Amino acid sequence: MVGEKKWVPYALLGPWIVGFLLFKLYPFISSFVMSLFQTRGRNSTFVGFANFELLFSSSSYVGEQFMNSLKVTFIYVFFTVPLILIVSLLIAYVLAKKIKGVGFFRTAFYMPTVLGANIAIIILWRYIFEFNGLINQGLALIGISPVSWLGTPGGAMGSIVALRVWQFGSTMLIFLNALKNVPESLYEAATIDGASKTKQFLSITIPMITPIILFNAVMRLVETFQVFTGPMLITNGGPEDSTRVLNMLIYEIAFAGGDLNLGSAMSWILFLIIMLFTLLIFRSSKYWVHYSD
Amino acid sequence: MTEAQKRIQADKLKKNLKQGIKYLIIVAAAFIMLYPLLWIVGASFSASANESFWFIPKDFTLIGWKESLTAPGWGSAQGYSLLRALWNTLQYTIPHVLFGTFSTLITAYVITRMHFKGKKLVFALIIGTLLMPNTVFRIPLYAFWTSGAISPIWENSNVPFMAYFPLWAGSVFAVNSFSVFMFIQFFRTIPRDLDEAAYMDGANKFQVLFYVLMPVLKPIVMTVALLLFIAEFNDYQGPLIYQGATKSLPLSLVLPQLGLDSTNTYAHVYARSIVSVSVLIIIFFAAQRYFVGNDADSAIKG
Amino acid sequence: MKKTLLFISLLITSLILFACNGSSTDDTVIKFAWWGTSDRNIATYQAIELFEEKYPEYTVEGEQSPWNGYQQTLNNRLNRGTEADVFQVNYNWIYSMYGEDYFMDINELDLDLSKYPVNEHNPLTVNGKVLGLSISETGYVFYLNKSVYQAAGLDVEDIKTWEDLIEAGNTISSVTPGKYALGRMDAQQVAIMMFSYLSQITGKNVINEDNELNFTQAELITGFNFISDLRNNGVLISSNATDTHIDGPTNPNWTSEKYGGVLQWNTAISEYQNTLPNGGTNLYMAGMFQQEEGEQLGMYKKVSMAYAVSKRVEESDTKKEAVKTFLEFMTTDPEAVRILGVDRGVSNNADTQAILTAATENDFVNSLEWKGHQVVQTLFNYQLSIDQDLYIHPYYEHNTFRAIYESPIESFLLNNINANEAATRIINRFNSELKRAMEG
Repeated sequence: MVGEKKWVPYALLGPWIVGFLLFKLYPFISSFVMSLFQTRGRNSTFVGFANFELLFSSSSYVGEQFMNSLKVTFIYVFFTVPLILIVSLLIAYVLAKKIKGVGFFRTAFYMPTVLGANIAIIILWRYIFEFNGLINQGLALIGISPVSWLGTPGGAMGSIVALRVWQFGSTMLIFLNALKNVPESLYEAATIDGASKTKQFLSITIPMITPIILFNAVMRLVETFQVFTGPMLITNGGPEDSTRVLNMLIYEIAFAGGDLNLGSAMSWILFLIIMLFTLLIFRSSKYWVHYSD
Repeated sequence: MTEAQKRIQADKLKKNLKQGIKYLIIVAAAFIMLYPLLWIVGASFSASANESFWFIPKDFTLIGWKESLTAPGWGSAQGYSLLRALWNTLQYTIPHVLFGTFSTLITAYVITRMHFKGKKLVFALIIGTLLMPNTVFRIPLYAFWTSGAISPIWENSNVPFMAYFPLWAGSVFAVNSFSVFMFIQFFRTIPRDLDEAAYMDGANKFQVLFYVLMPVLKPIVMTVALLLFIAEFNDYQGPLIYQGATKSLPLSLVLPQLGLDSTNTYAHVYARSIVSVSVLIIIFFAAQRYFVGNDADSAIKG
Repeated sequence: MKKTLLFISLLITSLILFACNGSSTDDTVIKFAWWGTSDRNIATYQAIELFEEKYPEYTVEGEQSPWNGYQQTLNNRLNRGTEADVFQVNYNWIYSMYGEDYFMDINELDLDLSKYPVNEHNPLTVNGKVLGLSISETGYVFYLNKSVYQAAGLDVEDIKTWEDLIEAGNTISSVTPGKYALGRMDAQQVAIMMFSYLSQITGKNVINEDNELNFTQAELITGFNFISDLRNNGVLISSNATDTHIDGPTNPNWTSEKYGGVLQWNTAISEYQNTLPNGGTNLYMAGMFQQEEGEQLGMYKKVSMAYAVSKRVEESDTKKEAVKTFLEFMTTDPEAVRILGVDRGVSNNADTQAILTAATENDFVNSLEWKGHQVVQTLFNYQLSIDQDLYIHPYYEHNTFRAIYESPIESFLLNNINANEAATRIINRFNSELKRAMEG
């Protein structure tokens, strides 16, 4: 371009550079460094990997809690992510087929995403799953005796999984858009060849949108590993710690308890786990993701 | 009727049936999705709120609504207004949205429309940080903001917006990688011809961005702004960590405290909840024209 | 667009400039934080307004908060140095979390502690420094709902022993099915009930002077079996999974009078009173049930809460004077004491008690808090006379340590583990975790 000063891009990029250095790189490194220290009062001493050892030791209560939180978080992720993907894809598929009132449905399914993350609704969720709450009242109408959702580990986990899956709207919108971009010609050709709708879905639709499935899977994975508000406000760690997810434990230890070093160690382990799974999914993607460009 | 006609009729019936079932499933799903929201509206008018499945209130009462904006024993003997908590929330949400949208837009513009050394590296870093969990940043940033040198800037400040500085400071520096990513993808779908034509007419970079491209960018800008607004308005862990005096608590922190007790019935709780989400609903529907059903979603394609 | 850019940069600049002049530290402003529900909050604000009227040179910024999350917030703010000047604390927090680093020695405020019993402030004293001003003492006391018992033809005043209670449970559940002599108790309440029961049998405090668990596995199993007895005889609900309301006072089973009683600190009983019909005039203070009629055993007590003063107040004489005036006002000013009433319990300060007793129009001496307070003091003093000290150990309520005994109890209450397993779990971890908690 004529008359462009060389420094302009760098100047405009300045804020991002500051942001990256101050808000991403510095905390990233600092977090690891902090995990190698222990603090008593105003003195911090270098302890190497002692914090990590404490977390994985079975003889300390903290270690026990950490293991439990890991387990609980895994359970949450492995139920929530597939459910979100499946439900949002199916609903998006139905909506993509030009139904009457598709605009209304899109909004209807997206509303929970907008509102569902709000504290007010999360609190409502607790009242819904109470023993005399909405869910049990509904079950009573069809003759099922009330379930103690918040009183049993499975039920409590179910309630927070349900909360997240209820908010599948945003994922659905992304799938909806991807579905729209699958060329009609492919479907037409398949119909001429006599393929059933189901076969078309499995052999045309899914392969064509695998990049989006990958994107959604990774984004949801990263997000669900860090779930916090639901367990905090609905189940408060759940009956017998069955919903005490990692982020909650980190909050209790670091921010409420004041032990930033141990909290950093826990955050780093969470980070490594998320990175590991993300990498695994990306690695596996070459076997199932089909890029059309 | 001939065999062929019968078969065509049968096929049509099957098709309509399938269509009907599909419709039924979708309607049922939508009903299940929306029913909790419908129910909370009804329950806020009901004195026996948690005792019925149906959303039509049995014992109609307005008390939850009449007392929804205030809570006795809050801040003074008479209590203070929920609107105050709402204002507190807006004090960090609004800067976050404004600065966040602006800074990420500029960053994406530079990356997609300008040439400079290290562009690939910057792009890689953005994708990399996209997938990084926030948890690993939170503790050191907390230590930073609450350290002796930094905390006087914002702690207990009476200047509007400043008391919540840690919650929106990052947005000034385009830290929201997802927004940058969305903008980048969208910029890529805009042909360079538009830019070229403007340069031919002697426009500089800024003019191109704000006068030529902006009309095309409006949907995605509104989308990003809306998403930022929703995320920040609903944030709980952020305000929780940087919690200040009670009068400065935002909605996220006030609502859990106004639980059931001797002066708050279920109707009160639900009415207050509805008041708090009403802002979200208003903003959402206002921005919806730009957001749902436009090509902004194509920006998010992988 | 240029205009917008200019505006934004001006905004940022001015904000940063202003920010440096942001907060004021005025030494005549007292920041006061407490926890409570609406009643206590309203009363406290009224007292604050009165204080500002009487002492116009001072201002008080009051910050109320619900109990839930108060401790975490306080911890968070103490670490950042942004805590209030005067704040309500639980007695054990002085040890377990903050210690001498954060609280000021109130002796430096020259408050008159002579009106309190001699040993009142010992539990609040660390290394010779008194780290909190005792507001009141408290113990867990049973309160029974007369109407539930009357409906089954019983008189609450006849229930003196555990046997009586179990019999009542049987009667109530057969005459009025769906109702219980007590109802639902959470792990914290069951813990203290069980330990009280065991202390009556063994004469031992749950934690001994060596900071170890004083009960044997066999004794714990006895305790758990006792709880099972209560659950099998209509005293307690059979499983906590069927009632997941964690908040006692608003539990619909309590407010609809299906639950016949509650075990609660005498300082916290008003919340339960307020949610009952008839303003809770049906509640009867039943003290602590005994093994045999006429005994006076099994009462644990502690300082219920204290006013702690932030260490930063030491730095300013004006501030110290302000805080001293405020604390004296809150505890001994006749009008303030009347306004605040017995909602934070009954103070052991002789002057304060005199004011409360003289306020005949409020009838404090017949309140549930007062009656509970008397029972706590009577039983505890009797126990001291026979050489039993059931003062609650400072780390008993430590929030990570308490999970060691409350978790197995909760599992037991949810019918997920049996008595043996619960007792084993407690024994396995009690001593090691208590030690770890005490070392900070």
